[in-house]
Amino acid sequence: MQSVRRQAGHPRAERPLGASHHSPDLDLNTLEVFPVIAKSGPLSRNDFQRSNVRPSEDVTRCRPLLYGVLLSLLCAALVIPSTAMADQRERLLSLVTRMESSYARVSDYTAVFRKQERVEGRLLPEETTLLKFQKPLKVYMKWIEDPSKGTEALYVDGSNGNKLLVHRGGILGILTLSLDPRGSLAMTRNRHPITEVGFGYLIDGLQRNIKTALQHGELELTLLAEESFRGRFAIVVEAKFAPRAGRTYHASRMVCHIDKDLMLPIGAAFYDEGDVLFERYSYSDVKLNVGLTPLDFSRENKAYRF
Amino acid sequence: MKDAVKRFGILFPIAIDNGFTIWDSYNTRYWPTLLLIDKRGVVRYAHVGEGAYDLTEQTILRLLAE
Repeated sequence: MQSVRRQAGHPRAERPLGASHHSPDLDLNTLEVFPVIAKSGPLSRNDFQRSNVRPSEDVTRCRPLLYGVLLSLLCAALVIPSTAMADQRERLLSLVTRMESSYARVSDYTAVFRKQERVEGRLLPEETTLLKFQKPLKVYMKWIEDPSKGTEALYVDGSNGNKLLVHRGGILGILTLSLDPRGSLAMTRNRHPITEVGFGYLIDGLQRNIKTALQHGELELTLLAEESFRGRFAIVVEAKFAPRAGRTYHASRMVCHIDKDLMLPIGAAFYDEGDVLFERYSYSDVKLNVGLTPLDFSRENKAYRF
Repeated sequence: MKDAVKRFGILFPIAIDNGFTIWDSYNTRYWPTLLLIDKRGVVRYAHVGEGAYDLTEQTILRLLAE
């Protein structure tokens, strides 16, 4: 992109030509071609003083041509980036669509699911669970690392009175609790109920937030990198939301890792207006369509402790 | 327990069931389990888990009116 060197004091800073914050010394309507300045050290205002010498007749004759060239360059500077940005936006939007398509082909899956959430202002320790999920909404989770190792949770939509069955690990596990999944006890130390666990809810949320923000011009989508993430090759996408007119989004900034092979969001981190992390989730050791059975989601399963 | 009773202003009797005697005698499996027993000592209502507060309240009123 063509750029204009700024005034003395910021010799290395550059700004796009035609940007709204151009120097008051640079009037695009009367722009003249300066001689190439060969000078070591920072440039000063004097380096850009207009010459008092009248332009030669050759230069005067060539002026329309120069204006044409400059106008072309200016148009190119404006059009090429916007085209590139549009291409990138389309590519990123297609990622969301592809994630939806990928998830549509999934009936069940197992994974190691990690979550870390900020609750009541405090970032809680990361929790690591073994997750079993079957559509439409059957969830079994077992905490496999401290501090909650041994805890189990089971929620099957339409069964067990639509209650969340949960028991703690260790000696506290002698009682199985039957809780409203959105009640105060179940939501203690959680930002989301168990009914919102899994790829489906995450993809729905991404799709909903991104489409709304795009519709209102309140989104900045960036393809950050492709990198290894928990042993998988992933595309890293950043979304920044700038809500206006009272609209709200789930986060101010979101960084998502999309598994390139599975085309599923295996990592997502959400930041608030102060760019402080408030939620982070990841999935590893993902196995799709493994053929989970009713016993995997039964409180009578002898391998469980409900 | 005494501190908790005082803190929450609980006026009704509370049974201590550290040995799970009552828990087991009603085949209780999950907490909370709510049983309503009428004046004749018959279990008239059971609810497992949180929730159903309105239904429970209505049942209590109906049983008291009998």
